[in-house]
Amino acid sequence: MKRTAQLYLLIVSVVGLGILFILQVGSKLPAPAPALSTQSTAQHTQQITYASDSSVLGSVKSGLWQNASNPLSRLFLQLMVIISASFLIGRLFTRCGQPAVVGEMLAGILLGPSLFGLLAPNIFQFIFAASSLDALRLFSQIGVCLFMFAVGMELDVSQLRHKARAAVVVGHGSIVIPYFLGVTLALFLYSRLAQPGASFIAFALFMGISMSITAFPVLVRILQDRGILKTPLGNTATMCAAVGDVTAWSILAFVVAIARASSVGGAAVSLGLVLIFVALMLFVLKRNLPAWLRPALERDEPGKGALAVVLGVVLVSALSTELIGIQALFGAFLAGIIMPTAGGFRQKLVVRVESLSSVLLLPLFFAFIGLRTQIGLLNGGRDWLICFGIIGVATVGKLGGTALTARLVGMQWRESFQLGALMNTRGLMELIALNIGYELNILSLRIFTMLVVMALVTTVMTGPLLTLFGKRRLMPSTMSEAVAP
Amino acid sequence: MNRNARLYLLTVSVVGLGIFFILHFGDRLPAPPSPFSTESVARSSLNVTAVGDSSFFASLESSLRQNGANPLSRLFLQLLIIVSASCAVGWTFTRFGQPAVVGEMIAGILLGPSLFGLLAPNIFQFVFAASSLDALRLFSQIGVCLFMFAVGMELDVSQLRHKAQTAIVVSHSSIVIPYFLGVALALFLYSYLAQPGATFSAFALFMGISMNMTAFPVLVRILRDRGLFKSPLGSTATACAAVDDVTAWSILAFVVAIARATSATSMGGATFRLGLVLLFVALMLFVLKPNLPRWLGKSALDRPEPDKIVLAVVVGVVLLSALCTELIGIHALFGAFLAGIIMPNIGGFRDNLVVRVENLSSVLLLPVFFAFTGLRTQIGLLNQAQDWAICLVIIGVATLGKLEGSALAGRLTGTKWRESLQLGALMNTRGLMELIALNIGYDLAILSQRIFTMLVLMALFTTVMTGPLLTLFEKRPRVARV
Repeated sequence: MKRTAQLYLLIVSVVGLGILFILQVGSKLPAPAPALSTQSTAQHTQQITYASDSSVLGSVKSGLWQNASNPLSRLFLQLMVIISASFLIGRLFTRCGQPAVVGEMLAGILLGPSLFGLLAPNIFQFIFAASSLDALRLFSQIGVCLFMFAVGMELDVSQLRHKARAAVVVGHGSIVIPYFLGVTLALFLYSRLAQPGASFIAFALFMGISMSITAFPVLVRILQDRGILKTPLGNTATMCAAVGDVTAWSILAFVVAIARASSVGGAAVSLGLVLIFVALMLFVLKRNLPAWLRPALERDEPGKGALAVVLGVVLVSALSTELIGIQALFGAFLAGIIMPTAGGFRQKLVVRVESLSSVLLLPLFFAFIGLRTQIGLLNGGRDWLICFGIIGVATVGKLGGTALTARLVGMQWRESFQLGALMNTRGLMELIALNIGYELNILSLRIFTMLVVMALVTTVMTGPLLTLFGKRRLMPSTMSEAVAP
Repeated sequence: MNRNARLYLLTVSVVGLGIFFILHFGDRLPAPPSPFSTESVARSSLNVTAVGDSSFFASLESSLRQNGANPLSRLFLQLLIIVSASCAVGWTFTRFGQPAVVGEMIAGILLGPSLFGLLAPNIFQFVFAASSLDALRLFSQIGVCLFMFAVGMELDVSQLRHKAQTAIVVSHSSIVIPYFLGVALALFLYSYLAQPGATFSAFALFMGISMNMTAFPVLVRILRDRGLFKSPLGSTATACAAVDDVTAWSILAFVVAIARATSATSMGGATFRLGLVLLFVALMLFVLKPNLPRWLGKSALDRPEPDKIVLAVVVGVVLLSALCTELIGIHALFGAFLAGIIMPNIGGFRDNLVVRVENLSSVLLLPVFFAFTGLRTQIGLLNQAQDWAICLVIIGVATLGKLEGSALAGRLTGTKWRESLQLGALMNTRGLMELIALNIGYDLAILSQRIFTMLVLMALFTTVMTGPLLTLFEKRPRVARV
């Protein structure tokens, strides 16, 4: 041992001295010739960043400042702020018996110009600098795509077939009734709140969609938290929400195709392409995928090859829908739906894909939504009145519509209302849809903000409403009293 | 059931008709007034996209093209190409008994200007448009950070303590000897190949570092493939490589701190920066590491499925640590690596994390990093015989230094020649760690594009060499003293 130590010291010191000596000699070498090719221009921008500062502390400070404003550390900074905020507020809300996602949504809004930008405009400008928003947007979109992929995997369509009919009736009833109310509402709001340039049809179709969305993942989580996932009510709710989800996203894809096309012919072509694409995915890819992934399906650990194939499918699918002109997230969702279920394969994928994206990337999406939401825009009493009107219509439509159809299909009033309360959870799915509407120039910032508030309120409402309906044995048969805000 | 169907049809048709009626009626409503605030200005760029085109197919094509050029679909296109290329080439290489990572590295180079850009410049320009490279770069950096986090978690420092001394001697001499050779090599290459503006000491220190990287993850994978992981050679090699990794990254952090400070002209800055680095490392190791298990909660560590809150805390620690190192001025990946090292190692907690972090990053994000490196590698720049000669010399010096250095040290500490040489061959695997270090050197404007390309080739070669050399040394029971 002693010998080893001696040897070690000897080698390190001799070689260390040698290195020092060479460094000394080399510093007298002629400097490399100035650039002869184009590469220096490429690197030039990085070299001019060093301002010569006299004092040590001053140079350290300016160095820190510089380092903080490069894209990577800016992104990390944003992530830090967003994740810790959503963590803290999510914690607070779970204490109050609310699902954590409510807190995360709220954290996004608070980080936006509504609170953070109002209280500390300088810090806000530094953290969410305009130049960094493109990257933030890209990452949040990727997060949403991965999330939708995971949502698609959680829906098991084959399981639905067994007892589908009642679920389809309730699921569709819970969509068409609020859709109708939303379109009607659009009649009154169009001239005042639509984005200039948006056609009435697009605006009305979008208002309808925003009234009829249900957040499948939030609903499942609420059911899990209350331990009623396996009860008849939980089963029905899950299936209705699954049907509702698939239907709502199909309608949304349809609406987006219509809204984006400049002409009727263009809309027809996009719709045709969408149908062809969906048919290809469901009837060609779905059948063949298990064969391609066969070795991985039987193993405990899906190998990297299988993961690469899966990601490839997701990417192709998302890219196709984006190229067709509906959003990439539809493709990701569809890719999730067609993943093989054999041998817990989906479970393994969800573990590998969802946990990282939901912790790292999805908060970015909430923050991005929050950056767009300006509660300050609702400055008149009238705006708030409209906002309340929207919340009321959304709740009446979704809750009432679901409860009514469920009652007609043969459920008890109490369970029907509980089902209605559950389907009224809009959560982050609503935010995803709203964001699409905003980017398509259909929703103005004000109505966007109102609808975000509506999404938050209806999600918060679910828990208490569920408890309320669970307690009372008999409900009055008129639902307008029961759901008045 | 029949009643349900009727009910369904009735509801849907009545409501559907109502919707149509309203849509029809609403068309006559006055359009919303023109903009009154700034928001329309911000969005006007989105509005101009619809071009009036006469023919039907032309409009379809133009809209497809438009959709293809927005940042998200560009990124998806790039990811798709990169993932499929690296998967295909990686698979081909595993057929030849090479680790897949070699194929993935080569796929990255082939996607760059060296092949893809040469064969199909137009498509290349479309796919890797200059405007999209910023996002790609950010993406690849995040991938590298996550990867380094996973590498840090795979190193179990506490396990090393048992057989530390041999490992430390072997690995440190396997660092200093090639480091010395690299610095000596820099004497001859500086005037010719350094990036204009780089000082000699920065260039020499970097050449030294690039000679003595060992890719811990590649080495582990090679050992596993050959079933040597649990053998005495395997455990020595793993321990050496682990020590090597920690040491080499510490040296690199040190070099980066010096190189960045010397360009800012003050020596005081460099010492200050080093002080900050030491302070940060001490904080991580002595404050955060003991407290982390308590913060995460004992129950969370024991559970087989870490929940979201735990994951959020972990991601928060990684981000904070990466941000700190980036702010200090050494690269963010050091922080991520350190965060991996301090993760608690109780009840398979690390394994749970690795599954969640490493898979996605190694399949999706790491190939992006390879492609990004490939975009910078221009083999066409080595257009003279002299350049190729230098490249060969670099490969020779790197192999000689690393292989001989570790073999010699191994022999002196009492291992057999055969095993020492095998150890040397293993330590010569540079793989992607070298690429990470090279990219840092390039970003700091120390390495010119030509030497960058040469060193990338060297990294490739030494990694490819490992398998055959290992087999060669294994076969001959007695190897001459070279």
